[in-house]
Amino acid sequence: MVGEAVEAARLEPRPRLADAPLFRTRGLVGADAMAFDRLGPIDLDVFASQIVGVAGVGGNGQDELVACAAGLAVPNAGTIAFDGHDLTGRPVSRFREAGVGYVSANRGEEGLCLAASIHDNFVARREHDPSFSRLGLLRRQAIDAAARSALTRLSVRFAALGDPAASLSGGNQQRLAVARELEREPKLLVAAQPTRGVDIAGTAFIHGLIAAFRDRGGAVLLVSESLDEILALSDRIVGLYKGRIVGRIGRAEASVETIGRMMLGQSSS
Amino acid sequence: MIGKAVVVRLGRAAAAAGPFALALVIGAVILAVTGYQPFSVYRLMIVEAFGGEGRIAATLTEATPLLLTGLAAAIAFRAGIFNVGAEGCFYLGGIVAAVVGYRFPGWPSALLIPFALVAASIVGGAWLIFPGLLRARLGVDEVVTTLMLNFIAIDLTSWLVDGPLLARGSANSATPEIAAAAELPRLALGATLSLGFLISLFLVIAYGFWSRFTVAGFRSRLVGLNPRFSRAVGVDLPEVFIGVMIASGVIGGLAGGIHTLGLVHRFVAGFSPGYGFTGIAIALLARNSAVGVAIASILFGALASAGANIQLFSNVPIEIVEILKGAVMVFAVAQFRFGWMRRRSAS
Repeated sequence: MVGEAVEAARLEPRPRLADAPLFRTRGLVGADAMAFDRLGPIDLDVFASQIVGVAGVGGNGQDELVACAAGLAVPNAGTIAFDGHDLTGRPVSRFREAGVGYVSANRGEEGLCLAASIHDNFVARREHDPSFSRLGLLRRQAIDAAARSALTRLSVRFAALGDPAASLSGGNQQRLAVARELEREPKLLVAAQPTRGVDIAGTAFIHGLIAAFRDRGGAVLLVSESLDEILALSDRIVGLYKGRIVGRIGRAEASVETIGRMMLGQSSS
Repeated sequence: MIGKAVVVRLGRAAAAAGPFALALVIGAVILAVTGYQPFSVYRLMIVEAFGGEGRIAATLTEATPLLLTGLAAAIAFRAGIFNVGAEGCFYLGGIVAAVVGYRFPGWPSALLIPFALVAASIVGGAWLIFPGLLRARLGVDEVVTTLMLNFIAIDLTSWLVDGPLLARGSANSATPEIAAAAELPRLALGATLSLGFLISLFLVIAYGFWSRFTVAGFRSRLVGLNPRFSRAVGVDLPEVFIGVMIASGVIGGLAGGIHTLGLVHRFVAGFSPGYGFTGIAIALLARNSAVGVAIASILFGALASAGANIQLFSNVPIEIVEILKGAVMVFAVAQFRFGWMRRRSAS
């Protein structure tokens, strides 16, 4: 990754723009695959034009929070409201249509389909969009053109669009995954470990994308085990410990120490 | 880039041809050990399968049901659904087409044939709705349910032809012959090759088009490649699962209907010598591609049509054909991949 400027500067905090939260949970309880309640109950709000960072040591309920927010898991209790609509228990497709984007922490198995080609990954689940298909027939040229322009814009390095996504480097795979979600122009981006295993330039680039999305009015629920990432991006930070929110702080109060204390379960306020 | 694409294609072709080559080697060893000349037997088989119009027609006749059972398996496997129920659909489609074919003798061909084939397809599709629902809603393994449903379909149809549907005056477990108007027209090429071959070939081509160029084809492939990813991007997995299961059943039922109207002209107990199961091997060999299904069906058809004749003319036991078929299937399931292909997909 040479030839790209690495910007690691912190983002300026932004004031809240909207009065009502775009994404709201009340009494949310999430269970893991073994039906064990790992999350909650928690109340969490994410507003438009805001990045809410969820800090915590892995295994403290982040996976369950992400699964519930992306619509992949049905909460055991509590409600999820999005843009004023109750989405509790609705299928993933409903979340997606409502405007939820999702960057998975598991790039190889969930964030991308590595065996499929780059353009297929790019267009996945938008293939029925009128710009990409007509009367059930794919418009391959339109798909290729859109994929090419988006990937060039995001400086993803690839040999051919028809190559499998597995042929990309890890950083470029993640750029592809983030690009695919942002191209849908969601209202909320649920970003789980968006730069895990990504090189420095790629990390800065993805942070730039997320920040630009926020500046365009997007809401972001950022879940990360990287303190630097939380500090660099978040407008508000909540600490998650044993499934509960142990602290909520604004960017101004945030430091490695305050976040570190929240991650260890010590209330910060 | 072009060079690489060609290499990938050649690699795929080699991977698909590998099981056949290895099966031929094993067959040659067995022939040699038992005192036959492998090369002369193979040459005889090629001549018997492809030497002349009549023999080619016989091979294509044998390939006809395999084209569709291979297609029925491929369309499901491609979406990650291991449906092995085409055999049962084949029986049901066969008996339904036979009943329609003899119950409405006054009808003209233009109505009777489509009616019989549509009825066979509908019954085949309906048969697999249940395992499709079980898989989609409750996660019940479709291999078990569709396999078991085969036995139910086979036994149900053989009971029907032993009782309610048994032809009057017939001692065999068979329905009456279908009306002449219900018989699929023969192609000029040979004695047994019927329009059914062209219908089947057309459907395989249509499948190739569907899988490459349509939204539904795209989506079902994505689900087959990575269901977790597909779900995360919002694809309705149950809808895809049930959809391909029904499509697979429709094709399986149609295969049986065409077999009745095109070749057997009635339904008899033991209607299929395992066409549904051979279709599984064909889909695996073909890696679910339309071209692969067409080639593999014709090769299996050639084995079947040559097998009967080599026993007549060379004293080679017909079992050698079964050994070859079995060996191809074993190696097909083993999924040959070359080192560099594995490296690519593992990273």
